[in-house]
Amino acid sequence: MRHTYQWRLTQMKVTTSLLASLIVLGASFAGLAANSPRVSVPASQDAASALIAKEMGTRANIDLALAPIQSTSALQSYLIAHDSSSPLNALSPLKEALFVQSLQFDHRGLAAYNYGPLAGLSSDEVFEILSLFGAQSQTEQVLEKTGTHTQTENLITPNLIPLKGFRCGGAHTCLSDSTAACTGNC
Amino acid sequence: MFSWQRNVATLSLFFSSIIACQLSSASTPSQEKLTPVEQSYIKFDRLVRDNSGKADEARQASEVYQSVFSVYQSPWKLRSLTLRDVQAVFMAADTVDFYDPSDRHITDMRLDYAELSRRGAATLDQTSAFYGALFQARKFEEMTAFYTQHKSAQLPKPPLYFAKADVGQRHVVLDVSSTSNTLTVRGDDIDHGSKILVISHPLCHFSQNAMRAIEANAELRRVFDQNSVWVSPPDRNLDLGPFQEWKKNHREAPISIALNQASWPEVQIWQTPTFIFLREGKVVGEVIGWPVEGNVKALDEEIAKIGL
Repeated sequence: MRHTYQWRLTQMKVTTSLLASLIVLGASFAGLAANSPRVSVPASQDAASALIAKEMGTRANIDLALAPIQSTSALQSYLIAHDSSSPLNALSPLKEALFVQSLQFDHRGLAAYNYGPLAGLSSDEVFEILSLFGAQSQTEQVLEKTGTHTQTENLITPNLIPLKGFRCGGAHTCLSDSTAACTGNC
Repeated sequence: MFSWQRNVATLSLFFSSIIACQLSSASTPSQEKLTPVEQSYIKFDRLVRDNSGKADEARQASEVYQSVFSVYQSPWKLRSLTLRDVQAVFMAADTVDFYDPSDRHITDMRLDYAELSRRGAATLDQTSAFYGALFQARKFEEMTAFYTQHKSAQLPKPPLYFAKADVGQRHVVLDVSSTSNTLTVRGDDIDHGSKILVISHPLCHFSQNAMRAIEANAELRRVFDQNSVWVSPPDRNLDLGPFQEWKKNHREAPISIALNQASWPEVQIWQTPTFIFLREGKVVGEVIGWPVEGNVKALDEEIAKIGL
């Protein structure tokens, strides 16, 4: 089943809201039951943030595991076989060549990529290209023109925000790289 | 090695990479549709990527750029190129300036961007790239003028910038305000006593994991709280939010942004996290990276060497 970016975004928002509501409700009931003023809203928000981050991390891992392309050899096979229906056709020849050249894989799948060539594409186009590699959860970050994140986003998903201008280094580091992104997956 | 020998070596590497790329089975059908200038850019990008993380990456990128692309960098030459080729030349200037920020490279980017604008073809990402390059070059006044002229591009607001006359040339950082979009130039002292310089970034998950491990260990926390200086690479990320968030969560170890690479000669490769151990300003040890199992033992050993 092929999902669009908007469909996925709505699904994530619903799940996130449900999780947050359930935790805040749970905390409130716990507070009432114990008749204790110590159960604070910030504490329940922290718990909600942690659970949402865990849920999103799990989802990203599932995406990676189910990705059609998880290795350099799978990429080469795809490039030979791909036809006019490939999402990569949304890119100009130069940008496609740059994007493909930048893809790095490790044992879990996509570890780093050059997000620069994806600039200017629609959200659905970026989502579909990243879906080839199980990285569709990063669509929103790639789409951002400004690189601005709110503090709430940082709080909820600290490990899911790719560090732009860096790539995964071999020594468990993020290393300067003009248009790559160092992700929590390396 | 003489400089001409070095140049020959770099260019040989570039042309070898062209041959390697042509032989590569990973080339895509679309690569056949590239113009010669675009093909040069693809090879340049690969060369830069292959050299990424090496101590001389900036010099190599700069030498190849100079030999291959600088020939296009004049208004009349740019006018004679196709749009696709101007775009490729802009990308080359953008790439080399990222690794080797200099007035010469910024000037080339300015020329290319002007040509793209003259044709009404400057895209949002090119506008954003040039703006980011101005930030990396710390050209705050030009950033402000550019921001005003390109309101429709929805660029992030330029930070307010406060310079101080007496900070010197060494170990200069931009201090991020806790509450506003403001940067203040400040000098750090790592030349006296025993110090740990931590190259890090608030969005680098390896740096986050390292900080978690340090804070979970009472002795390490004490040493780092009292003796460490946390500095991020001088990159193009304009979002100060993650720095403010980090500052809020780690009051004793806020991360500042290096003003430029040149003022931190101790740093050979800007990768995060890197722990550089100094005694009276001299580097005596280094711990690079933060694997899943951590690097606490290596930190303990280096800390002992500098007597902390």
